[in-house]
Amino acid sequence: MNLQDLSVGFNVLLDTGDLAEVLSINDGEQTVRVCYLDALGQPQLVGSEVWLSADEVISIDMGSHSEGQT
Amino acid sequence: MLTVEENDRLTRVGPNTPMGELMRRYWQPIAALAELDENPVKLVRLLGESLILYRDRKGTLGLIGDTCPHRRISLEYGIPEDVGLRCPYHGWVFSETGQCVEMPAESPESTFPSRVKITGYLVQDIAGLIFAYLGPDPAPLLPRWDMFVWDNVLRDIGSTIIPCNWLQIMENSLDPTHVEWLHGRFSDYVLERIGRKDLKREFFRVGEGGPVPEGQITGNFDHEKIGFDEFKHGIIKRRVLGGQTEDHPNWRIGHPILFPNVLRVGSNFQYRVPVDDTHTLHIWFTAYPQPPGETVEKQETIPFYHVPLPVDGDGNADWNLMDNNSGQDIAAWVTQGPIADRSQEKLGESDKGIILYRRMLRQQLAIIEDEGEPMNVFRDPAANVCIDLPWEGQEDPWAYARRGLMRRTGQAGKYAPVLRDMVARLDGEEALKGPVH
Repeated sequence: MNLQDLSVGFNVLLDTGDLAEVLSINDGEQTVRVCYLDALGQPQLVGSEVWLSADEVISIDMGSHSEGQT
Repeated sequence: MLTVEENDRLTRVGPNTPMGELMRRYWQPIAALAELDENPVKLVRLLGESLILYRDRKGTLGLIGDTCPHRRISLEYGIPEDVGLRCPYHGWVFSETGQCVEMPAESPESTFPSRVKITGYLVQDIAGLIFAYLGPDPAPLLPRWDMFVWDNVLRDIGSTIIPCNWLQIMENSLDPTHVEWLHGRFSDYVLERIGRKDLKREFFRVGEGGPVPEGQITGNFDHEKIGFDEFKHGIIKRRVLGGQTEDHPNWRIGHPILFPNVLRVGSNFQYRVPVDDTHTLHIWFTAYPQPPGETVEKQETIPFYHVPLPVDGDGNADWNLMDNNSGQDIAAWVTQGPIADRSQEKLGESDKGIILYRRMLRQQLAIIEDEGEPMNVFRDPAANVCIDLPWEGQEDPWAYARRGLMRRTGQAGKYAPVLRDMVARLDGEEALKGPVH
């Protein structure tokens, strides 16, 4: 997703289906550092921090509701 | 994107696989009752198991292992008896529980039959559709979804076996924007390919395309907004199309995806039943609302129809079979491969419905791994009299049916016998001439 739509502290949905919290954003590299909050496929990831590309972040988490413009 | 391991976990359905165990918690449809009118014995593959569905001469349905344990021949050509199915080789008879009840060549005093039992699964039928339960005891109730029990509707049931994994088919139902392309722009291209350019609807997105030529219908399917909500039976899918507002039933009501493997769109259920890891039994169950003031009698038999595949596993296409939504969908699903490789996909924001669905699958997998009960398992008869579901046409079912169903482009309506009869009665035989558009 577009990194300008993100802020530190946002919870985001990743393309893996996992949930993560945004820790920092690198606009130049188009990357975002996140901490996994929920990784149902790989629970060992919870609490770990990684840099992801912008394309691996799908949307801001809205809980059981999700919507967006196309 | 999923890892290869996670893709396997979500797609593979054989015995003792995580998803296979989840799918076994649900009654799965396996055939139409009408299919057994022609041949009362049918080979069925379900969740990687090979089984025989039969109706004995007293009308009892059975679903048993496909092989006689005596000399290992198939029971596919078994003989229905008053009670049970007889092996054609040496006459052993098996009841619907799989218990051997007769061995003609053994002594009448032999206790051998009582010690021979093959697989026997529970089967039940509702509204002309036969369901099987392969999971742990006790079996839950067979859900009485609203369309199974509505009065004053006509119903029909279609099916086909699609050569690909069930999950890529279900994910299509969480992907609203494919409608404007696959069922819009590509649909127009199909009409062009089969020499009926005159029927094109000139679908376009806002800001694209020029004036619509006179006499052509503009199909403004562009999605301005999509939305998804988890609800107690699965996920509600919503959309705002070009020219619509959030007050339109498409957004205000939406339509449900029933966990784990059913799409409800209009008055149609689409079951995506895993046959094995690379084949899916696709069932279209439709309940047709009737015009105001008209009443129909309850059908003695719910008609069954076979839906032809527009592409085979080698990619050979019949364009004439792609003039309808299901033909277009099937072509897309098959070309994703026997099991779509999600380790290579690139999802965007418009794919958030797919991700929400995958999360739900994982959450429910975790529940059964903790020995809990997943969603949509019903055990209270009082709550299972009629399970009402939201759908876009609920405020005026006939208007919805008249506008959508009667064009026969949606679902597998092109082939549905009840719908064909309704179209002929209301719009004349001429309206049945192909292609649908």
